[in-house]
Amino acid sequence: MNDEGKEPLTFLLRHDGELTLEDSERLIGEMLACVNAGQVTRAAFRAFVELVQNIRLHAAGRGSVSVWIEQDALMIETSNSATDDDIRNVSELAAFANANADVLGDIIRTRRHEPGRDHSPGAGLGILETRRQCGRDLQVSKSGDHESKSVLVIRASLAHKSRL
Amino acid sequence: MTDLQLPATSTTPRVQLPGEGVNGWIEGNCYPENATAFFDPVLSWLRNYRKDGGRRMTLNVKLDYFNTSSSKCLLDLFQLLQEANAEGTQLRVCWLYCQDDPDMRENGEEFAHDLKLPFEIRAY
Repeated sequence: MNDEGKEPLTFLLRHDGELTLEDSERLIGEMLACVNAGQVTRAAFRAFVELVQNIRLHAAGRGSVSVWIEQDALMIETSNSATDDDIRNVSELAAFANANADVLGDIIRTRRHEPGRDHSPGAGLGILETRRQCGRDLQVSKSGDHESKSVLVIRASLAHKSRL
Repeated sequence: MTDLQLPATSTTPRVQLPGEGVNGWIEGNCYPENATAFFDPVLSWLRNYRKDGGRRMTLNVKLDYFNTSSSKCLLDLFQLLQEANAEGTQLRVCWLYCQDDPDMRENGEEFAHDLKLPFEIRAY
């Protein structure tokens, strides 16, 4: 127990600062090892890959990622520098995914046929797939109040395997 | 026509496409950061196969995981096979999924639904 009477967080993975391609591949490999060891689900792995690669593709690797267990949930959180436009786009996409959770499979199938866009080369599939894998709402928020230093925070929550 | 052989890496699958044989393979994990760069030589090989009059092949796709950018490339690949079949080739896909991974079965079903291509889905 900590000073606030809460269980301390158990971090499975954590990476701060520059996220190089090697870092990304190493983290994905470590997460895969957690799947193979029965510590996390395949769904968590799939969500993790999308979120880590989102940092690489949209923030040139300037961001951080954490995976931890909190009560009955496995939490994945990424944060990366982003413009206000990017944050708005991701927030809208996540809200769309949350609101259409029951039909995300059909939406993803349709979008797979669409070309990428300037601000979203993958047509937003990564966020939609993350929401589908989680089965719970994605939380998107912004920290920082200066346009050039805004930080996009995406938090995904999944049922934790040991308590499924 | 020569074979295409790409060894597996930690983020990309083994690819084995036969110039003369009847069984091709894409097997392993598929979550490269730049999926387009990985799939370019595969698509290029298949275009040449089609041009050279390749007639009959089963492409066995046995993936453990793939990312969403790879899913777009897989769709491009399957559509290329579909176009070739419209010209008289006999190309088919065998989608192999781990029996305790329903997501991979569902992914196969989604591709099959969107394609006019012989597409078998089989558990292992």
